[in-house]
Parts: sequence; structure tokens; C-alpha cells
Amino acid sequence: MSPRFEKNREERKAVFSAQLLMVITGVLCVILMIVTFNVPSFIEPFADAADLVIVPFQEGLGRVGKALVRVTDYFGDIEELREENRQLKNEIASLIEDKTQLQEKNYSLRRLEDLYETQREYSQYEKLSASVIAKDSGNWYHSFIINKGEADGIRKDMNVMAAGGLVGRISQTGRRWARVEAIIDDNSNVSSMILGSGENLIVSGSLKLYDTGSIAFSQLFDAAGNVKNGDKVITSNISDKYLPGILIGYINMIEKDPNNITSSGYITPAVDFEHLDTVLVILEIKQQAEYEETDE
Amino acid sequence: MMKAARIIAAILIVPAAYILQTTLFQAIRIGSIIPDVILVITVALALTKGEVYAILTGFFMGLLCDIFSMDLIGFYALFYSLAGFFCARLGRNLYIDDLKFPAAVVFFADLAKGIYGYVFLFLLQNHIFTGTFLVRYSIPEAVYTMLVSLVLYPLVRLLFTGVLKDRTETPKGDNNIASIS
Repeated sequence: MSPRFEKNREERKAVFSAQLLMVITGVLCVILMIVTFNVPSFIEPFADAADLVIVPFQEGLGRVGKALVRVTDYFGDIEELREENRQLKNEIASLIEDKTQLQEKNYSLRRLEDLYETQREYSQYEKLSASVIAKDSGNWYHSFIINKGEADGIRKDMNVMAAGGLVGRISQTGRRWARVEAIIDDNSNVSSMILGSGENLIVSGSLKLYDTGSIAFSQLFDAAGNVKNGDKVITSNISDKYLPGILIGYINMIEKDPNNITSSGYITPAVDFEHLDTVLVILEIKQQAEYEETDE
Repeated sequence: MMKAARIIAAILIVPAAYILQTTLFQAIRIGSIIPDVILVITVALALTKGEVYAILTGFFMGLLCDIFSMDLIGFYALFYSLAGFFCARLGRNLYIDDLKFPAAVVFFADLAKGIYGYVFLFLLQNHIFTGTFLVRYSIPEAVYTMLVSLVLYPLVRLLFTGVLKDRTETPKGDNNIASIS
């Protein structure tokens, strides 16, 4: 009728095609979610396509980002001290690792000779060093991207360490990248044990605790009340994803549950998750390790 | 010619936004909160270029987030494309020509993202911490993202429409409110 109506019709046509596009996109998303939920391997082509475009840039810019962070807390001569500090920290890290291993060996020897024989320490496993090139895009998860992937022999569920402690496990791989899910992540649950007494417990990350830097533990059966603050927590033999004997952290708070049977509390992780730079990936998957043992 | 250039810009902005979000912008975390640049770009495209641009860029940026940080492809893609669509609809029906308007849209879109993520990623897994989540993560992120949008929105608009400052003439209405419906 009027020119205004004509304009509206065009406008309405544009709105309609946008609605159609939205419906198509939405349905596509839902289908993708359903398919990847049921068939996790469906992600692989996406993951491989992504590393062509994204990863090389992330690697370069990640370095710039790290340099920027470094510049912000740069104070003249402190660089030299920092280098020394870094070396000392590395030394301490390796000492902690040694100490944990020695303690564990001692414990195992004292307790069960046969258990000791079947247990392989993580220091014997082949490890691969990788750099953290990108963090998660949001605020809810503590996962990060490393610059090594399937092409370097990394597979899903491999364990990741840094500074002698457990960082997490590989949760997704591309050809040249992998995502590490940290143990402080809200999704993470690690079945672990107290070094020395061998009590089992579950260590689970929680979004509520991101600020405090600690992780929660629960279901600790400690009838005798032997477990105290400062005790070391290591991954246990019964964990299905984590290799045994890797240091997780130290208990900093423990209290009895209302049921008076189990205890729960908090653990200070051995790894500084805020400043992760390089990590070590253990090139061994828990299940494989078990197969090898049964073969022997 | 200009249109082709803008389509190319839209294609390039997808990986660029994701890469910057996960690398350089990690340096501007305040109290461990990082602003959501991807959302700012989606909203900015929605308000300046309309639904089609916003849905498509939102979808692909969300897809990158899914690939690198989720076990579920399509989760963020769905949110960002929906956000692009609804913000464009909002911008079509009610556009206030003031930098405060896109900033407010970004704020509410980010809050919506927080609620969407909380419900589907945490609440349904029985991880219940509504208060902590809102006060410590969702609202600070929305505020920070809104502040970032005050800088980023004019830049995106400059890139895609060639207009840096607010338009002086408004399509209709005597106030700054234009209503087309």
C-alpha cells in the first residue's frame, strides 16, 4: 500500500530468512551435541581441522602473552635472581619427587614385598615435555592447551605432571595440540591415597575452591585417626585413569564427616596452577600399564 | 566491493577473536576473571550488521570454543549463535544510538551465558553453588566484559560499517530511540 509497508515487507523477509538461518543453526548445534555426546570420536575431524588454523598462532601469541605478563612484573636486575630462583625451584621439585619416591619405597618395602614388586614408579615412565600455549576461553574451567598432540604420541587420558606433582590428564587431542584437564577443575575426580598409611580417598576439584587454590577430598576412611595435616596425598593403585604414586599435594584441613565414619577436607596441590609454563606428559596410559603387567 | 571486504573481515575475525581470547587476553585477567571478547564481537556484529553476520560468526567462534574446551561440540556454538540472533532482533526493534546501549546488551548477554553454562554444565551434574557462581564468576565477568565492550564495540563498528562515532541522525523518532516494527 504505502512505501512504508513495502519497506516493512522487505524487512520482514530479512527477519524471516534470519529466523530460518537461526533454526537451521540451532538444530545443527543440537544434532552435533547429541552425536558428540554419544560418539566422542566424532570430535576428531573437528580437532584436526582446528590445529591447521589455530594452533600455530596460539603458539606464537601465547609466547607474546607470556612475555607481556613477564614485563608487567619486571624489575631491573631481578631477572637474574629469578633465574637462580627458577633453578632452585626445579631442584626442590626434583628433590620433592625423590623424597616422595623414597618414602613410598620405604613404605612399600615395610608393608608388602609383593606389592612393591608389581609397582612401577612414574620416574620409569617415558615422559614428554610440552609448553602451555593457551588457556581456556572462559572462567569456569581450569583446562589448557599444550603444543604437543597425537603426532607426538600423546593420547587421551595420559597423565600430566609439573614440578614433581600431578597436573591432570589429557582430555582431548588434536594432531598437534592436546587439552589438559587440571585436577583442580570442577569436573575432576582422582582416586588417591595417603602416603604412609595407605588410606584411600577421593580428591575432587570444585569451582567453589578455585579462589583458595586448594582441592577438596572426601570419603577418607581413617578409623584410627592417623591422618593429619601435612600428610602427602598420592594417586592410588585403584585409580582407573591415573598411574599410581604421583604426588597430588598435602592435606591442609581435615574433619570428620557427620556420619563419623569417613573424613573430608582440603588439599594444597603440589603444583602451582596459576603459573604453569611447561608440563611433562607421561607417555603411558593406565590400562596399558596393567596389560603389560599381566603379560609378564 | 566493500561488502566482499566485510565478509572477508567477518571470516578472519572468527579465528582472530578465539586466538586472542585464549592467548593475549589471558594477560588481562583481573582476579582470575577474563572478559568474553567472543561475546562482545558477536553482539557488536548483531547490532551493526544484523542477524546473518551475528549467527554465523557466533556459531563458528562458539565451535572453536567447543573444540578446544568442551567434550560436547555445539554447546557454545548454540549459545553464541542464539545470542547473536536475539541481540540482532533487539537491535532491529529497539536501537538506542548510544554506546551505553550495546554495553548493556553485552552485560545481559554475558549474564545469560553464565546462567546457560551454570544450568547445563554444573546444575545438571548436581554441582550446586548458585551464589558463588553468580557473585564470584558470572556477574564480575559480565561487568568486565561490558567495560571491554566500550572499547571494542566502536572498533568492530568501524571495521564493519566505517562509522566510528555514534550516528548523529537517527532513523525515526524524536528522541534517540528508533523503533522499526
